[in-house]
Amino acid sequence: MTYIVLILCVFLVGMALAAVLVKDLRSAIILLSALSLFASLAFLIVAAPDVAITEAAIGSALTTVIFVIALFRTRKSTEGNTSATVRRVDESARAVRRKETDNA
Amino acid sequence: MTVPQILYVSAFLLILIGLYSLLTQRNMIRMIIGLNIADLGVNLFLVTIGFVDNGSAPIFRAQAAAAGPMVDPVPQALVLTSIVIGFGVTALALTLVMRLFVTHGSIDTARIRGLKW
Amino acid sequence: MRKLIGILLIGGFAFYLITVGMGLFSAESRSELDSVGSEILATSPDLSGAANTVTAVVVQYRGFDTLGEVTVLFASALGVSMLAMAIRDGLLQDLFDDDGGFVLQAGSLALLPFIVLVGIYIVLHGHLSPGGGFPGGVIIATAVFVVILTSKTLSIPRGLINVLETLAGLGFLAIGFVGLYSPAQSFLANILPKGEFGSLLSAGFIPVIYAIVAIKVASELINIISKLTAAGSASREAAE
Repeated sequence: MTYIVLILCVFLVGMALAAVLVKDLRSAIILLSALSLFASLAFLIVAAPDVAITEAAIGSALTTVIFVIALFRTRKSTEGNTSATVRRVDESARAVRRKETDNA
Repeated sequence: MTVPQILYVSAFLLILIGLYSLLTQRNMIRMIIGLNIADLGVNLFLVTIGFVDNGSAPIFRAQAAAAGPMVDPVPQALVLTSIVIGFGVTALALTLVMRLFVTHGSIDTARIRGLKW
Repeated sequence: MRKLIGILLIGGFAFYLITVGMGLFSAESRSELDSVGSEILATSPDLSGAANTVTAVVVQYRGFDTLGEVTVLFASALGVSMLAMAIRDGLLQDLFDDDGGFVLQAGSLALLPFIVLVGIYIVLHGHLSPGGGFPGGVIIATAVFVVILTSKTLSIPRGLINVLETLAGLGFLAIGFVGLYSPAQSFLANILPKGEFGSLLSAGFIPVIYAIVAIKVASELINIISKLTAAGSASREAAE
């Protein structure tokens, strides 16, 4: 039991450090979400199932959603959050769709 | 080391990591991530205070007394409300960041006059 | 420089926490900490009739505290709404370039009733098993988020949600005042019959209060997210 808790806590602290130090902001948000999930496991170990359920629902679902919305809302319109490859694929898909409608 | 001691230490480290991020980062979303980590550490600390060795969750199966010891329900109830309040604080802070982006065009504290230190 | 100052401040704070926090682990303060919890564990089954002691603490022993907490959440949702109104016109682009496509939209709509059902189950069994109004309300709100995030042109019935939120808040206060003018003469007194211990209809007013809390939490969270996701596009469509 002690070893399980020890490994869990190493994960917790490591994920917190990674979320603070990682360069990409999206990765930091996902790491925070994973940290929340592991924290809810820790709450389960200290016999607090109510807190574990609440933490899993709020910490890993809601907080992530709202962080991602904030990240999308604060991106610069010129550089964008989607990478160049994604945008190119998107444009080609749109061109294919246009061609299809023309044919029809 | 016992289970509560390990959890105390990791909660302590989580609080320190969160506060370090809050103090040193320049990107505001990262500062709020730090705030969330510190929040998590405080919650873990409070719940661990109520833990007793070999304690079961404070839920009765029948009205008769349970077999083993039960953990303290009071810190759990406090943390339950604290998590929900923490989400409210995060949502408000992120909306403020979005508002700041609209008015100043940046979320970097070094680029906004009046937020530099 | 900034990092150095940060590390120094954190070091000072860690030293403070270690020196002050060590007093927490002395035997004397330990027994003092446990006294409240053991008292509640001894009296809770008779006093509240709820099998889950955490629920009993949240709703019955600290009911006034829960009312304050719901108010704090309401204030936060109000702040988010006002700020979202202020940033609405400054947002250059919609949150999503495209909607999620047919499969995601149909899938999220098919998933909606099941997630809501799980949420309602968790709310109604809050006094028997882990769960209750706060996580249940959040789960119900999550079901709506999945739909919001996959479709671009969804219109949330904001009026209905606001009415539900107001009614839930007033209902909480009304139950409190009923307790005040009942023979028990205290705010939020548990005057309903306790029922059989461990059955669904037991623990007096605890399931009622938790249902109200769930409605309030769910409607506030749906309000927050719908304001933040659809604020720009909805206002532009209304203006055109």
